[in-house]
Amino acid sequence: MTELSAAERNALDARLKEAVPAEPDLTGLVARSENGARRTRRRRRAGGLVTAAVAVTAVIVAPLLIGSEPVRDGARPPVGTHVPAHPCGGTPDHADFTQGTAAWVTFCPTRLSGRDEVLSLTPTGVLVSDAASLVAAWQASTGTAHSCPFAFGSTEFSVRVGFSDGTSTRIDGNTGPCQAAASPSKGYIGIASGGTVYSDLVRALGRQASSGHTRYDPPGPPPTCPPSPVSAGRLNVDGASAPGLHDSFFLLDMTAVEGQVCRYDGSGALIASGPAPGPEDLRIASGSSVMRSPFQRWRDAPATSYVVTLRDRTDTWRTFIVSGRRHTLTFFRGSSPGVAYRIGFAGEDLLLQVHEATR
Amino acid sequence: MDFSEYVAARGRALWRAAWLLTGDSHLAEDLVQTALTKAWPHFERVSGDGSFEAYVRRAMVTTYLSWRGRRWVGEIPSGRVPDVRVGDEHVDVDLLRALGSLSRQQRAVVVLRYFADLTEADTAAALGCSVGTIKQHHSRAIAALRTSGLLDPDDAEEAR
Repeated sequence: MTELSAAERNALDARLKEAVPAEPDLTGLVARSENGARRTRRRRRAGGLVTAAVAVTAVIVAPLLIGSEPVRDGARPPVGTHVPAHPCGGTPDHADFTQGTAAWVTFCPTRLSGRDEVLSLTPTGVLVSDAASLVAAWQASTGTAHSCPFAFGSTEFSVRVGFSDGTSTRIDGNTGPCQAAASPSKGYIGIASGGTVYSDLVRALGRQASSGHTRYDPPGPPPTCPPSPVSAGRLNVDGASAPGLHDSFFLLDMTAVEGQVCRYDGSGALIASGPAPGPEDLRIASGSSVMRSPFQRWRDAPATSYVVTLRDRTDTWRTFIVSGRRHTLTFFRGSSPGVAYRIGFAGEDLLLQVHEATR
Repeated sequence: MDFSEYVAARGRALWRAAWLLTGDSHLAEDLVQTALTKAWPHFERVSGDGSFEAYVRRAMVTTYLSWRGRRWVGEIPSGRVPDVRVGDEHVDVDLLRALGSLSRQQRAVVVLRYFADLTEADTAAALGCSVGTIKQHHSRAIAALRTSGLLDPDDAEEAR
């Protein structure tokens, strides 16, 4: 029997209608939808212009650029540094990770990276300016790789290191305490903990992105906590660095010098706020302590929400939210107001940091 | 009615249907926002004849069906959380589990037929398939829901 009886239909109706929780405040929905549609239009228009520009470039400019192919972000390598157009492509072929001078380092997609994500879950940017010293520190930390249990709340990542001789090495790890491993290098070779490798590279990329902003803008007053988390997008402020921010899922391109955390109870009422004790740690945790499962089974978890706003030295403010019993992680891009993008779920490290800031 | 008024009037209903499709408040908001973003450029053209609702509904369902990238893996439970406040939200876990056992098409059919009260023809329009295909999804979904016990009137009473 494939049709419902009257009793079954009533039962299903009741379960469906009663299961839906109270709706959140949807007042920002109109603005976000309109902003999204406008962006789509702009991208389409830009796509046409880009097509034309690419055609012109291919004929006129490309021959001039052979030997200094474009990187995928605004960072320009020092003169003489060669970064492939697709640094994550090709097969790693550096013989021994402990030897050689690094020319560039970048994050690459992992096997968990979805192809149809709204925003990339892989941090963007190619590190060139501090690549040699950063990798030298990793090379000095090498030892025998060993297995260790997966750390809750850690995020898998993959890094590619390009060396000055044109070869490359891949480093795989997760942001927990386990060693990251470089390959090929006489098999796998363990280096520093994945958490260290990840945060080292995120910090270095942030410094590199910030280094172009030599002017120091006096900080404006920190934004006041919004009356509820749903209006957190209004806290985003564009400073001098804002035009260069990438479409990365977290706050890669800023070096956070100040931060504020606002804490709300389950009904959305503000109950505490405080300065972030370690704004850079908080920024890095917002990328390293992310989980993707939408159905956490933390049934006794708090309904507390946190609104986090971080400022860089150019007075750009960017906001993310850790919300609800599932600790949903939402970032805001742009300003006036920022557009919300739900990324996943905050891991334990991030939760502890935001909690400590408002204790 | 302009776009803002439409969203003010219909946003909550759309969100409720989206919640039943996704089982998650934030995903539901994302889904509604994405559907409205897709539909917004066509608002002026189709709002006059009352067909914008069907346009949004179709955008929402097709977006939901295409969200393969959001079938996230690696659920990682943790017994340690930094706060002890217990929320007051009630979640019908059995319902979510039963809906989660359905294919996305089957789930969409159940939500549109029995929550949004759409006809088979309107459901087919929302999913962009034939009425025959809808009947097929419906039949399989009902069989699965019966197995789950969700359609048992006594269970429904107990869940309230």
